[in-house]
Amino acid sequence: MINPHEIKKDFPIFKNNPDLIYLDSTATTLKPQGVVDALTEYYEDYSASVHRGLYPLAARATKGYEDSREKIAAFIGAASAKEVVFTRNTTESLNVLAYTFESLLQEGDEIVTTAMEHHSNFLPWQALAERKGLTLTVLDVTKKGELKNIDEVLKQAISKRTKVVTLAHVSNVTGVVNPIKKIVSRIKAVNPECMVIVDGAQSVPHMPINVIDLGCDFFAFSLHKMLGPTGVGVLWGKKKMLEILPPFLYGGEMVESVTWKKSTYKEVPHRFEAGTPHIAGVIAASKATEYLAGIGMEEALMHEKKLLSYGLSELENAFGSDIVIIGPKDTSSRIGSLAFLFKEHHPHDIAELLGEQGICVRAGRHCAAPLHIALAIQASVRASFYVYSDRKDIDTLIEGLKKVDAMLSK
Amino acid sequence: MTIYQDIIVDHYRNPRNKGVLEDATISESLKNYSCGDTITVYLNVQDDTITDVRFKGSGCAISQAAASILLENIKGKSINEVKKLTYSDIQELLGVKLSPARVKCAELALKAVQKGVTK
Ligand SMILES: Cc1ncc(COP(=O)(O)O)c(C=O)c1O
Repeated sequence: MINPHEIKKDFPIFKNNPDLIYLDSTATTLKPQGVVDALTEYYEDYSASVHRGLYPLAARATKGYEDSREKIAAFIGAASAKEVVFTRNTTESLNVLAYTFESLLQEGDEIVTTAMEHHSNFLPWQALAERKGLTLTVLDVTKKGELKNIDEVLKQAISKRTKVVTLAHVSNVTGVVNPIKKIVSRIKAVNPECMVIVDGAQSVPHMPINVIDLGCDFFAFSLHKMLGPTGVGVLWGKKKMLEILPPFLYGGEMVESVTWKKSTYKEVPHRFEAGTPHIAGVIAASKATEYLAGIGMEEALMHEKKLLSYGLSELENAFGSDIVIIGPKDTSSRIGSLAFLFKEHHPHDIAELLGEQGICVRAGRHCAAPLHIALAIQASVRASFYVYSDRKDIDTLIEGLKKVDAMLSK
Repeated sequence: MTIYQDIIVDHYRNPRNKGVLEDATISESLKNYSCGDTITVYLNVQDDTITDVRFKGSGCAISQAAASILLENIKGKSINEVKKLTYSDIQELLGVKLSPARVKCAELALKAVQKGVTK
């Protein structure tokens, strides 16, 4: 079982901010010492470029970089490290797909997405549909923020014209987990050619993931949401799918042979990694996945679900119907991104007043305006948990909310 | 220091001049899209002077308190004086320095008033 008290000791931010109540891990997580050390070690001991230098420092950097690819591939159950492309973040991974798909799609083709997407998996496709004259279908959600009648809706939405279905594995607002494996098999049963893209930004950090088992074609996530450094993301794709796509950025590192007339490009994944990458970040990222593997993702998930149950019942005990939870109260189909409304208090006032008490939560639409529109709410407050979160964080949040209420109640 | 100074909390809880002004000569609505704050201001202008004020709206404490405080302040002022007001005047009235994210909330009413009087 996870002991968050022990885990907190691995995170230097808690030494420097002993009273920190950090409940915004859905936005980005804190970093363990090992990750911070790996960054520093690269810059202090072997800060050379990768894939080019012939001297030992460069060889060490290249090995660190490519070893990291192997470890991260293993962490998500990829068939091979060649399927793991390093990007800056989930947003970039998804944009790479939206831009490279452009040449493969034709006017009249259809793209399907959902109302529970983060903007980074919504806007690139909306813009692509506009540019190319494609039809963009947005699957609606229930009042609890779950996809409506999945079987029925998919039957209607998916046809031979559907070229791409792109959806979140886990919502960054409600924590709702979509049954990806089932959804993929429904889609492929109707149209085996349809590409299925999964935004895994909120799933890989919080549960065991095996991309092959999920059955999707592409999968995107950000390492900064799973204890790693900012500036490192992954685009995983089945090798034969990645191979269909043209390069996105052109330049150094991604090219094989160049003439004045024509050039050829490296094989995947390097074809998609033009320019000098975030070497230190990539190397440190595998320290993050090692740390998580050490805990065990099943354990991490269980810990989070327990905290979520505790949070839901404590909020209810303290405030009854004054708190409205955005999302299902049944914890079996969701994880610990806990969004709520509190009386008539505006989420920005709540977050600001909690912030003044050292409690970090997020307020607003969480880059998920389509969901807020679907649920007819302006904005919400979101408290989110991770491996270092504990009951005291939730208790402090509740005390903080009482103070907010005393301050703002009319 | 809290940004929720007494004056802000007071005006949020007990907004002055809240409501609709039936004989308004100017009315103007603005919305802050990022947070959903809305303000409608009603002004009665006679001979270049603002003789009466009201506002309607919903949103965060900062946006609503700032509207109440601003309107109270501009009653009796000339259109020219109102046009010259800037965010720093609002900041002075509120008595706090807000983070950039909240400045938008605090200046919403001023923007509505200035848009109304320059029409
Ligand atoms: C579900 C989901 N998708 C995509 C993103 C975008 O991640 P990033 O900002 O790292 O690109 C986020 C993070 O906010 C997210 O929660």
